[in-house]
Amino acid sequence: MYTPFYGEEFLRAYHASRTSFMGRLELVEQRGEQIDRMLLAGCLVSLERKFNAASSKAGARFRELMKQRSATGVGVEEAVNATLAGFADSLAGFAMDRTVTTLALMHGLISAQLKDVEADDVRIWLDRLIQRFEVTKKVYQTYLPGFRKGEGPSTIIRLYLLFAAALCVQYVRSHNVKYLSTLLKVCDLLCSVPEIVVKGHIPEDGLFGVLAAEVMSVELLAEEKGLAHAFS
Amino acid sequence: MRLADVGMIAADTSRSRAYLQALVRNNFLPNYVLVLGSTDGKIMPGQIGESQRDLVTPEISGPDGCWSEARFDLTKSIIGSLADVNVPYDACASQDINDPSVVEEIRRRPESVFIYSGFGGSLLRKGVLETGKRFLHVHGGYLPAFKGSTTNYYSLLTENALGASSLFLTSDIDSGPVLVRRKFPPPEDRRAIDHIYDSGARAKVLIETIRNYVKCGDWEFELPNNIGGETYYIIHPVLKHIAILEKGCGAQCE
Repeated sequence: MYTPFYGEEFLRAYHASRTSFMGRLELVEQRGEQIDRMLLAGCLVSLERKFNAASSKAGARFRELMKQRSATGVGVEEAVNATLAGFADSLAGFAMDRTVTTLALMHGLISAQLKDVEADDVRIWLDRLIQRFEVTKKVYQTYLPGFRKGEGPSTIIRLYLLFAAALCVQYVRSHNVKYLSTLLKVCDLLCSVPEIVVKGHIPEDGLFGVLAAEVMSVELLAEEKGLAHAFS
Repeated sequence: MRLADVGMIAADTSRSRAYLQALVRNNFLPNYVLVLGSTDGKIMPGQIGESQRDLVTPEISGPDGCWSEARFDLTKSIIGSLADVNVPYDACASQDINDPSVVEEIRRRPESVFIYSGFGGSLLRKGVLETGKRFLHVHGGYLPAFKGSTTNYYSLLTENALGASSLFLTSDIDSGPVLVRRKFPPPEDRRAIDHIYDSGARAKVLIETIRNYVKCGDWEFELPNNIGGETYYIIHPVLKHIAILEKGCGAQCE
């Protein structure tokens, strides 16, 4: 069965649904793990720069969306730079013939992208994660050697948020719609889990930022295709 | 003409209907068809429900050379087409190409090449691929750039074109040697891509592949080393809607 077609109304419904979810997030500081907060803050800085580079209008629109979130309470640039130093080179340490800890892989993927490393490793490991996610619709705590079988819980919400952030940065850098497609699916999951799973367990302002960037990316693509009116 | 060494495995989907009607229209009849199991009214991947039919029967426009095989009767069953031309067939109970009984049926046949058009989403596993037969599949995307699923929506978004490529299947998805590949302009009514235009583009490439085979007496490859490219997964509905709603002219047939 193919996905049914519902016309422009479907795009409006997507937009309304995301906006409504974002409005319900509690944007308070110091939730989630510190390392996640810093990396997500770094992602948002990077995303704003990329949107700005795409067009000043896009940059302004992203800033307008982001105004709704509270300050992160950290000196973003300094904190991120200090954090990246420990993670960005870690991708080289992952290998197919060893068990992969997903959290460490996510941190490595985001750090490498924030450091603007044009490493093949980023795409290779991100593509492997995408393949596993698309097949299972889950992100596991670890992946056994061969990177086929996931092990441990698949309900660790911070992994899904970090995955979304990594996909978001990759899409905005590459404009490869494959990354946007998977990003939309991961965000669908993040927006559909019970509130109790989200609240207090992840940096909600980070989730807000990732969703804002996803919505912006969809809006920009629609605009490019002559469909700006669908969201106005 | 009857293709003595070519059989077909078909589920009764829009694509199989397009293929069979194109083969009949161009007088390339498979020697035998193995029809995968009936679905007892349940809509399977690649089949169209009654309620959708009015959405997908547009006036086919555009250069005739591109969409000649998109003008097929979506309502005509494959059994109906086979009966019209007296092509022998067996209907098997299983819908699964990897079912051992289906694999055995295939193994016992004398034809060495089978046009494959099963239900959407099925992958051929080791048992089928080791029958000693070759499986001729037409992928809905231009290879090697667009591998995987729903690639025509991705190619609409990235280059405003559809594609189709014929290949012999291997254990790696969409990575077998490519016989023929073509690009198509975006159709006027993009809502009809799933059942009409994607099927029509693939049928067009299938006919060209068979025509080359008949002319040369052997299978010739446009892209023997089908390596590289991007692997795509089922496109998110938001992006599919953008691809369908986009207006604009695209590439011509290539």
